Amino acid sequence: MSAYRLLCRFRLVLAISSALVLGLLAWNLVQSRSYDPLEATRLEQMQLRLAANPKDDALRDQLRTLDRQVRERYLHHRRVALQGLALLAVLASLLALAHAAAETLRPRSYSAEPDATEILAQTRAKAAQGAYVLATALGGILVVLATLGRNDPLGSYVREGMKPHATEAPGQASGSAPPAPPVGQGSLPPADPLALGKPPLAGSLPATPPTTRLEPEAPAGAGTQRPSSPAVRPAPSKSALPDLEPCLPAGLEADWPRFRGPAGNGVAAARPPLPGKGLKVLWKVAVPLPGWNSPIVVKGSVLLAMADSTRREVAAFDARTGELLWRTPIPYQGPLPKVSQDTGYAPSTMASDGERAYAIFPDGLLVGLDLGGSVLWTRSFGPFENPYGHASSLLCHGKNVIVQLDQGSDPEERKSRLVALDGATGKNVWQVDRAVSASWATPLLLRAGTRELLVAMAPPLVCAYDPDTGKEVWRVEGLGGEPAPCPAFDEHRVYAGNLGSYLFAINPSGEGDITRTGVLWDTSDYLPDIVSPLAFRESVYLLGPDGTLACLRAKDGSLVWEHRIGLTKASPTAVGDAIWLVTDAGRLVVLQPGDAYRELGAMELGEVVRASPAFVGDRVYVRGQDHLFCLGP
Amino acid sequence: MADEPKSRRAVLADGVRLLGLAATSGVLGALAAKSGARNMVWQIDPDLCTQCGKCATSCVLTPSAVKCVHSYALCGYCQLCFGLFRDKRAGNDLHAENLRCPTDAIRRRFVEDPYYEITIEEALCIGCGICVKGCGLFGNRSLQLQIRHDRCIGCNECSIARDCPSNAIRRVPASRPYLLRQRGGTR
Repeated sequence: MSAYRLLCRFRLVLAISSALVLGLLAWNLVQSRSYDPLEATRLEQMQLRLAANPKDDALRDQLRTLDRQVRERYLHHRRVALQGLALLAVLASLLALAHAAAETLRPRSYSAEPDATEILAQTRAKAAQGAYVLATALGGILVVLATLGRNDPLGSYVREGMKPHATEAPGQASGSAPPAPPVGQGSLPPADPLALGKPPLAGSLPATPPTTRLEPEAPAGAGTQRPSSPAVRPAPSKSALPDLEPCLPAGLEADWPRFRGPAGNGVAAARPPLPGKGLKVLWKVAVPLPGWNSPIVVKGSVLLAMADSTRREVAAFDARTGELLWRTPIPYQGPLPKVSQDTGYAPSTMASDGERAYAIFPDGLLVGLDLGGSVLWTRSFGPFENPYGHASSLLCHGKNVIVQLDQGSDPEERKSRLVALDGATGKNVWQVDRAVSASWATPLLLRAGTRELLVAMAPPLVCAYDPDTGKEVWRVEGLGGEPAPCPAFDEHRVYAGNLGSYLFAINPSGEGDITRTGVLWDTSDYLPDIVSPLAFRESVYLLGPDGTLACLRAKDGSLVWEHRIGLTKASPTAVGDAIWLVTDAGRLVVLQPGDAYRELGAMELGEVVRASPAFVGDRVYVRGQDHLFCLGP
Repeated sequence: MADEPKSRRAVLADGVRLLGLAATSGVLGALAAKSGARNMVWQIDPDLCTQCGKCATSCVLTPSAVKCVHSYALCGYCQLCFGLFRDKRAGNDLHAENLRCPTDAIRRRFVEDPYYEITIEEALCIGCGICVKGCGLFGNRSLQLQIRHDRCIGCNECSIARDCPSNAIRRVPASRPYLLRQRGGTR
């Protein structure tokens, strides 16, 4: 068989194949209209019927089956259409080439002397044929390239489209497909040039200024297995880390004069018995007004601030008997501050220097009282630009009261301040303006070597100041979110961080901007939203918003263990050799620090608890939603 | 030599060359014109869009170049997202009978209790706007229809614009090709 005949047959086969593919495409097009999801009226009717009768299991099964069929068929037809078009382009190109080759090899009968007209006609025919072949080939190539280069990969459409929902919270069933994998194992959202921001993980409300979604994703909050992947920086040896000590208030070392104890670090010198081993409710008294602030205990009195939208008071109870010693009204003097329900009208914990007590409220009113309940002075710092209401607690340094007044959404507006007041008069001792946005955290006071540091956190800074002058000592940049947890420290490191940001382990011995030199490690896992971290015995305990308690190694931030203990707002406290926690449901839990989660005892208080307990001597003072509890032997 | 008449073949060859030159010029001119036209692109104004559904069917492409786009700055991260869930439904789980999207193009990811992040699988989205309508009825209107320019072939006359009943599609500068509504309802 000659080459010409072979090409002719090949051309014929190609032509028939092209016609077949074309026919199949047309048939596919007709068929696909039967499975257009937008025209699935039967499905829509079934959905309405099921909504009206949700317990019709048979209808539910039918609906799910039909839904899956419609979507599968629709995807199938789309895939067939695209693949068919690509195949048609290839066949057409081959057909054109085969035709051109066959015409070139076609045997011709020549006349003796073709005249000029015949030559011209032949030349024209060849030119037209060449142009036709060239255009067809180019067109085919272009169609193939365009098909392959489309940013709509149908292959992935089909592969991905039939997958179940990749990421869903535990307990949520997943479409009409198999159960979803646990949170944290799903793929990240695709990088999207249109994305306006990544989801705000900060705080309890999504008001965080968005950053690019191409950044690493913050962790999901569910208590399933998640990779613990702290970023560890080249760290100095342990000997190069400074020795950190608490700045204990003189004469109040055994009291509980501020939020999280005398050191503000959640470490107590008290030794109460464990639940189940002698701990019982010694007394329980009703608290006249609500408030989520924690009790402080000074010189035999338990002090509380309390308020609702109509009135507010400071009250003192006898720490021994629970007897109400005095109540001092603090009248509202202006419009009510806007606060969230979780904040309330008395969120800030009081502080005392042993001679006086101080309370601050969300409208910015700071009150100095003597320990008999008489108001000595008031200062008004409000109103605050704060979406949930001012909630930072107070602390005392010597006879000064330190007030963190961070507000606003734009750090550059410099609306935030850190103020030290003379406790006797309420007059400013020093004040620094801070280029930070709103924060709900409480500052931390500590001694690093020979110098004292006042550490305050608010986006975008973790910043240390000289508590005597207010002069900035060092800063770490990069904090985000809406900080409510306080900083903490252990023997060598300061820890600061919150949900929607990072937890930084900081070597506090530097000066100036120590972002690159002073951060020993950071992590974005297990970050707390409200609860302050506890640094205790070379471990850092973080309690996330989903109620997962995580124990990280202090040296590098790696995970030791995690355990879901339930939603909790109160911060943990290290008491003796144990860690004490109270969940929102009022369950007092005592844990043994170590390589695994182990409960030493538990006790039900039977009341919602959000305030952190106070530990003094062998007693524990817990503020519940309605009562003040005293636990002890 | 100068007076020697041209042969017919030479005249024909000159003609072909002239035609080739004209064709090349035409192609270059068309390309230049198209390049100039690309300075303006078609886009949907979310404030005018009524989610009539024509975006899914009127586009010359199948599936349409119109996709649902999520404005995260607006999103409330609702647990009960009405872009995801039907308003009349049998339950609040992610089964077919409760979901709004006909192609299962909306995914959600747990963020923290009670917040969920919504993402759109663009490969699955057909631009029907059903989720957009749901989000607008009960939510912050953070789901919006937009013409995706990695898909749009830039027709001289957009066939969706021709069919759009609310004239929501207009030309916008290619340097700012999207008209996403952002926080506060402003762009």
